[in-house]
Amino acid sequence: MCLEHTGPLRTWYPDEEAFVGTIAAVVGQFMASAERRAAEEEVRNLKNYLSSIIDSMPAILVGLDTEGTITQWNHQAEAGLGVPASEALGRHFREVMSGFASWIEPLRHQVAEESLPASQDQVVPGGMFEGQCFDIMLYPLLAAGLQGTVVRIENVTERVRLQELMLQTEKMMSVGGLAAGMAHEINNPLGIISQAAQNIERRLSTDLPANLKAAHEAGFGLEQMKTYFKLRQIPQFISSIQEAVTRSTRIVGNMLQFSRRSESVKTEVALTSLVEQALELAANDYDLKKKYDFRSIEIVREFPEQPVIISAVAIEIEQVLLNLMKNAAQAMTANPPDRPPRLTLRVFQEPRFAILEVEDNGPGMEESVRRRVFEPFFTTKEPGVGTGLGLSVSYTIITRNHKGIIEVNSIPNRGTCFHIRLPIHMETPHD
Amino acid sequence: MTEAPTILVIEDEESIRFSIVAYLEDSGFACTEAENGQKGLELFEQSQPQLVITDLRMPTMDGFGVLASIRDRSPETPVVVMTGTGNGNAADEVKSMGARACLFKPLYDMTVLTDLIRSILNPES
Repeated sequence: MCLEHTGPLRTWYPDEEAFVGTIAAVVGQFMASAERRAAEEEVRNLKNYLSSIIDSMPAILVGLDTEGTITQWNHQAEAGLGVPASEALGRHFREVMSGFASWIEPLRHQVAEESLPASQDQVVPGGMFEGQCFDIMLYPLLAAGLQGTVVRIENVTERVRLQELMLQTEKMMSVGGLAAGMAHEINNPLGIISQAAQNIERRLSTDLPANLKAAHEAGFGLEQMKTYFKLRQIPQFISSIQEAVTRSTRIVGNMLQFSRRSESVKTEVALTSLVEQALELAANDYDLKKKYDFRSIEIVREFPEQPVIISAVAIEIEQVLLNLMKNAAQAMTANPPDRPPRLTLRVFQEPRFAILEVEDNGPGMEESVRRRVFEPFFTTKEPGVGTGLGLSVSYTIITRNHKGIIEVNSIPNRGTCFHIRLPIHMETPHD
Repeated sequence: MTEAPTILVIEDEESIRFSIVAYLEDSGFACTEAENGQKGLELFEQSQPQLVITDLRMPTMDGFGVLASIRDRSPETPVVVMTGTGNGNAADEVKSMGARACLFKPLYDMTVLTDLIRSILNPES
């Protein structure tokens, strides 16, 4: 039926109206769904775009609703936590993220209360994340009130390890600076004491003409004076002054040498002198928290006749030795009275390697502990005592910085031996 | 051997000067002493020593001043410089300025000093 618009409009028949109505409705539906389809398409595109942004993040990103149910689970979350998105979405975070749940829980409460981001740094969950360290951050999603949170988990193991390495080296270097200042101050009075003792010794002898002359003036015989002094052990006292000065100058000399080497530069170093320096540092290390007295430990040195010289960063090798010695001293506090603590230090040379060994007669370690001893954040000490990074730093210094090898052997109830191999010549001249 | 050789000791720290002079005198040398470079040079004119021992760092006039002055007036008089251990580069510097030897303080064993003096004053023996 066609509609003519010539002449006046006529009245529509009900059938015609109904038909037009149907067509209009169909057209309307078609247009609405097209709009809706366009809108849906746009939403889908936006969602995909957002997902790819979230997926391209190097950190683990997990979206939680206000109940704690997982609404977002990016690729890193799948890879890092070992759970595919299909298994994670819709479940509670406590079921899926068990390693981190105990840290996320209080952070969620904090975010809910304050509507501000909350974080926990350097979390060590252990378990399947042995030797790894993470920063956890929760962000509130706010629209009309709290809509949920985003959980970001970042693996900061490498950064923390490197920081610790640099921090320890810096500490050694600042000790070096302090040591140098003190050494210079002390040198002067030490020289005066030594010279005075030398003069006293000389002026007590019966050989010097000036002495004979003075004795004559004073009216007594020099031989009698000598007898008197011998009876009163004056020569021994003078010797003890001179010995004490010699010992002091050795300590001061060590400190000065140590401070001169406080640079991260490779130089030719004699291994035995590094060992002696580290021993000196260990003996003089004053730490209120420690429970051992290094000076009560028997030190056994097995050094070769010929000096063993290698190219190394002196202060770093000393750091490693100091770390091993302190660990040994700590372990040996558990020694029963019939096994006095003994620390054995060996230096020897093989054709292409120099070998350092630090051995104690402490309680030793079980294989399960021995295996993990170089792992960062692994510690057998109580919480708060040590970071668990000391041996991992030592490991990095030996293997990465010096291209060497560090190993440990241990026999429970016999002791532990750390074995270090350092190449004498670096393969490439520039490294 | 006629008279004891005269040695001029220039050192600002009294205890060190005191013990070095005592040791040298006990070893058969005659000593004159001064606590700074200026007084030292005055004494040098008066006493004509066979050898001069001088510290480097002193007030009024330091060891370098003494060295330069003695090199001008009396270049054949040997000068031995003493300086603190921190001063590693000093040895080359003072020797290039004419010092015969450079010793590092503190001098724990003074036989080093007397051996050195004897070898300078009696080069044949």
